[in-house]
Amino acid sequence: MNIALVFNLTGVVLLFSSLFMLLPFLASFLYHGHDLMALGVSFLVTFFAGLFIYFLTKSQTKREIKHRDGFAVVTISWLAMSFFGALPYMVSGVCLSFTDAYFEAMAGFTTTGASILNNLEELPEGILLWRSLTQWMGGMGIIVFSLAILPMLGAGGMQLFKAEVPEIGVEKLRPRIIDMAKSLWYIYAGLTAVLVMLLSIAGMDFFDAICHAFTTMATGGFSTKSASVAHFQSGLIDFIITIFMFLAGINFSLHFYALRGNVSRFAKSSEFKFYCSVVFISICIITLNSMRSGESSVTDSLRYASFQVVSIMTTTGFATTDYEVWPVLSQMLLLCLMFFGGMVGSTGGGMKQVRILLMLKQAYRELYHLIHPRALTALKLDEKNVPKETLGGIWGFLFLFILISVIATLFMTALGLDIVTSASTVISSMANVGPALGDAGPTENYAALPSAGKWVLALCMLIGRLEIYTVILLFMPLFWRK
Amino acid sequence: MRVIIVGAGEVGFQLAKFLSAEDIEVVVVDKSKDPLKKISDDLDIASIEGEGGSPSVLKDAGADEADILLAVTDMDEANMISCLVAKVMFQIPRNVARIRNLEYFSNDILLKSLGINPAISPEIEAAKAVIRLIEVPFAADVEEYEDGKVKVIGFRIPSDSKLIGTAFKNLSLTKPKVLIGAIQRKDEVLIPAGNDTLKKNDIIFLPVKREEVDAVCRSVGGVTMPVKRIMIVGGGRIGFYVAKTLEEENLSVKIIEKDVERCKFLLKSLKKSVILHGDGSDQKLLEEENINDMDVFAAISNNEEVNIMASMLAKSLGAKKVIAIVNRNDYLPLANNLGIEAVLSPRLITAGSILKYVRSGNILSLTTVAEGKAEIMEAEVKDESVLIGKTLREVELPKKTLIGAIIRDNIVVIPSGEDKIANNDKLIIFTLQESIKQVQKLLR
Repeated sequence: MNIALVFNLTGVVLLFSSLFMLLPFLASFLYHGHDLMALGVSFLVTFFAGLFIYFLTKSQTKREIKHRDGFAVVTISWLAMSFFGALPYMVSGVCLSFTDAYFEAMAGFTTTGASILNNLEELPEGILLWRSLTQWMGGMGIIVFSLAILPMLGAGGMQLFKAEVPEIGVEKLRPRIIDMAKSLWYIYAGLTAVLVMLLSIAGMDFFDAICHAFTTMATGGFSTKSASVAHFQSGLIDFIITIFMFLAGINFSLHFYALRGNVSRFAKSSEFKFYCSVVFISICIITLNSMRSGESSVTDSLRYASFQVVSIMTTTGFATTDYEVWPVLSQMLLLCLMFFGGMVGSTGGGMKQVRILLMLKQAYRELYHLIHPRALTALKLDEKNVPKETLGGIWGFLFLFILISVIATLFMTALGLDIVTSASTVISSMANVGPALGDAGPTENYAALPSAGKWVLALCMLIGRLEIYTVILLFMPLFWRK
Repeated sequence: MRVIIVGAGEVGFQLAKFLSAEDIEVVVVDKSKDPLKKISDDLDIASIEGEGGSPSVLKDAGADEADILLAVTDMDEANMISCLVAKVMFQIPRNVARIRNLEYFSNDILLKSLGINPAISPEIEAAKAVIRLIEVPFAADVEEYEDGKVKVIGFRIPSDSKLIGTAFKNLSLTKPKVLIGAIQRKDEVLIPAGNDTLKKNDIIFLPVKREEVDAVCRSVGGVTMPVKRIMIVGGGRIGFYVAKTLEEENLSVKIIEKDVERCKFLLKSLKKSVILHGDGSDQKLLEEENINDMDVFAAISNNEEVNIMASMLAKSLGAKKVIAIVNRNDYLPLANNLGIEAVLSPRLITAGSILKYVRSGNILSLTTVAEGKAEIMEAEVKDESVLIGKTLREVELPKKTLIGAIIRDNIVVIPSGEDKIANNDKLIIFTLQESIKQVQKLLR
């Protein structure tokens, strides 16, 4: 592995992400926030750290990025970004310990939205914007963003892209990776802009609208209010955000084709149909379930159920109601939905709809073979054969997902947490959702967890965000062997 | 610009590699998965699995917006259909096809109605390269520009050359002026600066005017005895084409071919050549046929192992210049180190000849030398170019770039620092792939 090159590229990514810090800096300036200094210092430190790493490792001549380098660059960049992204929280004194600051930054970049901050209303605007911005950067993936802007990553960009975005089901929209990255970001930024407008019109303060648009499109879930979206008490805002969370959970290549006038792609995508069905069925079950419990009216049930189902399934993690008072069936269903996540190629986390769909198809095929032992079958997705390796990859993914979740849960219980809290925080982190159940439910947050637990969860978030393999590889001795 | 390449074999891979490194969108179509996986793992291109002749596959590949289709599978018929579909259904302006069968290849009406423009035959391209090499003694590589008015010749520096250790800036003192465009040293390619010196076994690439080829050969220490006697190993398509062309130039040709039936065919189709039945790596046969008197020994059979062995044998027996054809790219660096004067890869040559037709902007043609590591670009200077009116000394070229020749009103100048660039000049530019984009910007 070419360590110098890996750090060189990490330096580039850091330089690039440092520029984003200027936006909250500007906000802080406009609002005369007391975090102006903290944001300025964080920017300078990140910028010069990136510059330093870049020039320190620039001399080496081989620029070819291999497979392994790609994995290393992506994982190390994300770790480094979270480190420097934690600076504003540390320097401004919003977080008292480094553990908390790093956890908050990681929860931001991985779009998990699990927060350790209380009383968000008291925080300065600069910090609030930075929280939302980290999610927006992480939503589409900072490496993909860098690829779109920086031609210097160009040639080997494919290796980086593959390490950040899983290959399964993602088609190359444009022949060149830089064009594709650009297309994705145009769509992403475009949808965000539309959402800012709609939220402003719906009565949200412009600053809140920007912050919420960032975290909605990224399926992140950070809010500027402690009560999350529930704070606004507006059916219209709930509705708009529900729609956009749903859009953010759709494969962006479908948006790409739709913008080119090819809307029929939606109808042809079996993953999209599956995604819609899961959302629809879950909303029905939860609406009926909470109606039967007799607490609320039909419209209210429907409103809260649909918001919460989309929010949890796309792994956004906004809350409009305390779902912990819902019947157990509804709570359990929400927990299950965390696994599903968004569609592949979306900003959502979780296991991704297509994986679940393919596993269902495979299970059906196994049953079919028991009935017709000599039948020939092919596993198809959208009229195309799915290769055996892809399926093997999915089973491996599922196994690792469960294995890591179990180990992390065991660790959490060892710290003295109860079963519901342990399991739900781990799953919520792995799937990049945010709120969990028990002590870290929608009305509480992660602040009270022990430090060791926070580090484990931060790692789970990264593993989940980079779809397991990329991060786990770095822990394999095989990876480092020459 | 979008280019569709049908066929992800060696030729397709080379083409995709060169094109994707520039500002070109490349889509590769192939019917089998494995080569596609390899190519999309290594290169920044899109790949589509399917028949290259299928309209729906080509549509998926974005044929509606494509500027060029390159059909380079090893099946003539598949390539022809791809071009036909591209022409008729998608109106792609230029369709290049790799065609092996000479009956198809030489039938202009057929090719035209299939929309093929032009057809490239790997064997004929390889044969032409062999002939170019035979005509310039001592050369390891010869490329031609502007109908041969300018040649770029690669010379291997012999270990006893008096040029070894000379700094390049002093080379220009010789008459005629010699300018080194690129140097291949082991696996590396350098675009030289004034203080670099030559080393043993370097291959230097010089831009040379047609009339000065002999004089330049002499001044870099090469033998310039005219070539008279040639021995060819392998009477396949390449061997046959080479022999036929050389015969017409009244040179004495001997062909060694091991297949009796093929020998009979050669006997019937060639007029004066001596046809020998035997093995090219048979020492006794070579000696009997006076190998030590041969000016050129060309091992160009289909079997590359035989070619390499025969070349080494011929070299040790005293042949003056040895040319070998090697198909596998892995063998190229190896063969280059064995003391064989020129090693050719038909696939690289084919890819190179096809590249000439993929013109973007004011680049008239693009050739690769030194196993594809250096590029020679023929480009036209257009109205708004920042280069116009400047002397070469003033021009700020990108790193590792050098102007090797200026062609103005059909007159070729091998330039020095004082020469000025004018509008509509054609330049022969030596560069490495990473700088192509910047060079293109300068010319605009």
